Amino acid sequence: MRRVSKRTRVPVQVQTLALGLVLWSLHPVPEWWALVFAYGVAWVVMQWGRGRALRFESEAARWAVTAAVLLAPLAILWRWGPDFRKAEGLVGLGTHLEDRRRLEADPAIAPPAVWTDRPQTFYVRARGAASLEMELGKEGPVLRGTEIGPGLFLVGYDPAVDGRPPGQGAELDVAVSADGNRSRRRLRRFDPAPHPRWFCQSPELGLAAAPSEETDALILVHRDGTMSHVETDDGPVDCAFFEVDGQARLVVSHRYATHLLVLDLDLVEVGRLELGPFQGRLAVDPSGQSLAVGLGGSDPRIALLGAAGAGRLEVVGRIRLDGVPEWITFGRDANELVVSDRLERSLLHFQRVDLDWTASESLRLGRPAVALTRSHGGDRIFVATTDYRPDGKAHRGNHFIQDQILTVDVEAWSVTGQFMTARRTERQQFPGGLDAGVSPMGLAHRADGSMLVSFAGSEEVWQINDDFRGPPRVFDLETTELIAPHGVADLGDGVWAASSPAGGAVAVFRGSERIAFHGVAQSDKELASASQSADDLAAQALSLRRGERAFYEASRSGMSCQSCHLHGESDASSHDIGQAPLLPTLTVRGLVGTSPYLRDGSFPRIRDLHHGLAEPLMRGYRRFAASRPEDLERFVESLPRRLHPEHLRWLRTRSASDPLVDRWRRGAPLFERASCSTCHPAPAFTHLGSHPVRALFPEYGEQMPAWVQLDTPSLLGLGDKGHWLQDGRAHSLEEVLVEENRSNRHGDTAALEPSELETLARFLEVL
Amino acid sequence: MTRRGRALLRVGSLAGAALVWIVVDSRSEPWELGRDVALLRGTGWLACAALLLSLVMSPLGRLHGWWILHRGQGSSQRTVVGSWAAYRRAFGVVAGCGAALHAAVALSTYLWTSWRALLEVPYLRSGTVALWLLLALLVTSFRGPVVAMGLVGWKSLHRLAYVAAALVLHHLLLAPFAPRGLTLVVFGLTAVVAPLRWLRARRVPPR
Repeated sequence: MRRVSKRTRVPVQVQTLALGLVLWSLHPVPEWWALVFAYGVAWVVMQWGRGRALRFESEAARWAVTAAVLLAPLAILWRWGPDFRKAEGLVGLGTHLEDRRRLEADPAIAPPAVWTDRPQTFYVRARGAASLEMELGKEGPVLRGTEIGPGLFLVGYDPAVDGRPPGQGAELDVAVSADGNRSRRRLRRFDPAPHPRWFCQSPELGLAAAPSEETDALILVHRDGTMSHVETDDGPVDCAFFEVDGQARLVVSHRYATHLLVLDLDLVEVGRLELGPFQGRLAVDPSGQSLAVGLGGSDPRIALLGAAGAGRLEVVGRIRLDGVPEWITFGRDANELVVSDRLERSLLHFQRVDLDWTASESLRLGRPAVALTRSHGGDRIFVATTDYRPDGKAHRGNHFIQDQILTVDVEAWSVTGQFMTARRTERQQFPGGLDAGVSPMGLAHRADGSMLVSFAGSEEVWQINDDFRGPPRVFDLETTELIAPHGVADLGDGVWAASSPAGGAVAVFRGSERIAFHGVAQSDKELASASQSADDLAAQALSLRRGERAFYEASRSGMSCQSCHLHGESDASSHDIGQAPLLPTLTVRGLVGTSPYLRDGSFPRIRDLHHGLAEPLMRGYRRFAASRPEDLERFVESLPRRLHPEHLRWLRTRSASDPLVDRWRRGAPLFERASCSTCHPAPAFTHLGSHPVRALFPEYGEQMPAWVQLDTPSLLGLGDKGHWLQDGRAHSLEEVLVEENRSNRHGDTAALEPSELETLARFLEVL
Repeated sequence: MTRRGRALLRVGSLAGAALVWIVVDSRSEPWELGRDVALLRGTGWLACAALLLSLVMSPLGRLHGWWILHRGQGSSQRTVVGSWAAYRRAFGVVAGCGAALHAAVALSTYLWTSWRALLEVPYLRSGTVALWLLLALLVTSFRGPVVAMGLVGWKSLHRLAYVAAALVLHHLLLAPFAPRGLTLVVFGLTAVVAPLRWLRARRVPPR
C-alpha cells in the first residue's frame, strides 16, 4: 500500500474550519453565534463523512486547494469585520477598558482630567488610607485631600491659588501619596485658549468688550478697529458699560471671583463690589441709573446696583429667583426687567412698584433662550431659540430643531413675531440640506431699527430689519478665521464686531469690509509650528479648536451638537431621539473617562457618535474635515462639569469642618447602606456598566422591550439637573429614591428611614 | 476508582465547597439585588476559573512531563501527563455545570423579566453561546454518550473549549460587574500558559 505523506494531507480540523467558514459565508451574519453554528454544522457534516482527511498527490496541490477554498470565505469575513465589531460591542472596547481599569485601580481619581483655568474638585479613592496628597506634575502643586468617607478623599485645586502644573504635555503625571505610599497616575490636561465670547457694547462710545472666561481677560475693541485687553479676576462672564457718577465705566462680572470689577475706559481698575461668586449676566437700565447682575449659586437672585457716590457702586435692590437667571435685560424703563430661565424654558417679567419687584406670569417658550437682546426703546425683546412651543409640550418630531428669532412685546407680554432663520442656499448639493441661518448665537439691536445676528452653525452674520421684513444682508465668515461666531456688537456709525470663542479672535467690520482682525489666541499656523508631538498642549489646542468648531457646526439637517446641548449643557427639553418616550437632553459636561455613552451605553467612544448619528441621521456636514470625529471627542472631553457652589465654598478654605464635609460624612454611610455603591462606586460614582432596564426598574421597564439597556451614569454633578432617571420622570432626588424605586431594585432604599433618605438626597445633591 | 473518577471527585468537592461559600457569602448581603449579584458573580467566576484551569491542564502536564524527562525520569512521564489530563476533564465538567448554574441564577434573578436580552445584548449573547458550547462539551466528556453517538471527531469538537473561553472573555469584558483588571490578568496568564501544549518532549518510551 502506498504511504501518503502527512504533508499531502488536509487535517480534519482544517477541513471542518474551512467548511464552517464556507457555510457561514453563504449567509453571513456578523455575530459570534453564527460562526459557531456554522462550525457546528461543518462538524456534523464531517461526522457524517466519518472524519477522513483529504489527501492530495503533492504538497503544492494541498496548499492550492486549501487556499482556494478559504480565500473567498476569509475575504467575506474580513469585509464583515466592522459589522462584527459593531454587533458584538467591540467598537471602542479599548477606550472602555482603559476607563474601567483606571477606576478599578487603587488609588483612583475622578475626573481623570485637570483644567488649568478654573477651580475644581477631585474625588480620590485610596482604600484603607487615612491621609492623601496629590502632586500635579513633577514639582507641581501639591494638593492635600480631605477625608470624606472611609478611604475616600475630596481634593481641591484652584490654579489661581495653587499654581499651574509644569510641563507642556497634554497628559500630566500625578503622584498620589496615600499614607506615604506613592503611586503614579496620568490625568488629561486641558489648558484652554482665550475665548472672547459675548460682547457688551456702547455704540455711543464706539466700544465693545468681550470677556474671556477661560483666560481671565477682557478684550476691548474700538470703532476704529484697535483693540486693548486687560487681565481680570477669576472667570469673567459678562461686562457692561455703565456710568458711575458721570464717569463711563466698564463693569465685569465673574463666575469664581467674589467681586464685580469696575474699570475705567483705559482698563484701569477703579473699584470693586463684593457680591459673592457665580455672578452672571449684566444689564444696564435705559436711563443708565441702575445695573442688574444675575447671580447663580445656591441662592439665585438678581442684584440691582446703583451709584453710591465717590465713584462706588452699591446694592440697591434684590429679586429672589427659583432658578438661575441666564439672560437678563431691562424693558422699557428701569422698573421693568426680563430674565430668561433655561431650566423652565421661559422668560420671566418683573416690574417694580414702589420698592417691590413683582413677577408677572412667565412667558413659556418651550425651549430656552439661546440669546436675548432688547430693542433700543425697550418695548420689544428679541430671543433666539431652537423652537417655539407656547403650550409647553415637546415637539414630537424626531430631533426637532427649528432655529428662529422671536419678538416679544414687553407691554403685551406675548410673542408678536417669529422669524425662521435656517434655510438652504445654492451651496447645497443634497436635497433638503440647510446651510444658512443655523444656530443664531448673538443678537445686537441697532438704533436704525436693524439687527445683527451671528450664526455659530453656519458661520455668518446677518443684518436684518427688526420687523423681519426684507431679505437679510449676509456677511459670510466661513472662509475667515472667525469660526463658529458667538458675540456680535454694534459699534455705531455702521461699524460692528464679531467674536469667535473657538478661534480666539475678534474682528471689526465696516459694512461688509473687515477693518481689523485680532487673534487673541495663537493661530492654527502658530499652534501647528509650536507643536512638537501629537501629545503636547499645542497639538491639543489645535484639535480642541477644530472640535469646538465641529460642536457648533451645522449638519445638513440644520442641527448641530449645540442645538440641544447649549454650550455643552442640556436645553432642559425633551426630544424624540428615536425611542418611544421623549427623552430629556443630557449635559455633555464632565463626560471624560466615563465610556460608554448615551443612555443605553451603546457608544463606547464619543467619536463614534459622528459615524453613528451625525452622518446617517443628520446627513453629515457640508464642510470636509478629516479629523472631525476625533476633534469632537476631544472637545467634548474638555468640557468640565460645573463646579457646585458648595464645592467652591469648601475650596476657599479646604477645611475638614466645612458643612460640605459634614454633609458628606453623614451621607456616605447611607449611600453604602442603601447599596448605591454596588453600581455607583466612588470615585466616579459609576461602574461604567449597563443593565437591562427591567432588572432595575421592573414596573417602568415593562413599557419597553426586554433587551433595552441602561447605562449607569456618573452621579457627579447630579444636583445640577432638573429631572432625573432615564426619561427625566423623577422631579426630585427623593422621587428617585422612593416613588421610582417601589420594587427596591434601584438601591436598597427601603432599608433607610425617611429622615435618612432626606440626608441621602442632600448628599447626592453635592456630589 | 479510576484516575479520572478520583480527579472528578476532588475537583467536584472543591467546586462544591466553593459553591457553599458563594451561597453563604451572598446570603450575608442585606439587599435582594445585592444577593443576586453576589451569587451571579460567584457562580460566574467559578465556571470561568474551572474553564481556564481545564485549558491550562494539558500545557502544564506537558511542562511537567518535559521537566520529568529532563531530569531523566522518563518512565513516569506518561503517568504524569495522564493525571493532568484527568484533571483537565474534571475542570471541564465543573465549568459546564458552573456555567449552567450561572445561567440559571441569572435567568431566575437579574434577568428574570429580560430573557430576550440573551439574544440582543452582545455580552449576554456571548455568554449564552459559551454556555451551549460548554454543555455540548460536557455531554461528550463521558465515554457513554460518545460511544452511543459514535463520535469520531471528538478532538475537533472539544477544541471548541478555546472558542468558549474567547466568548467568556467577551462576556466578561462587557458585563457590568466583572472587574476588567482581574479578567485581563487571568486570561492573559492562560494565554501565556496555553502555547506550552505544543511543547514537544521526546517520545515517551514504551513501558
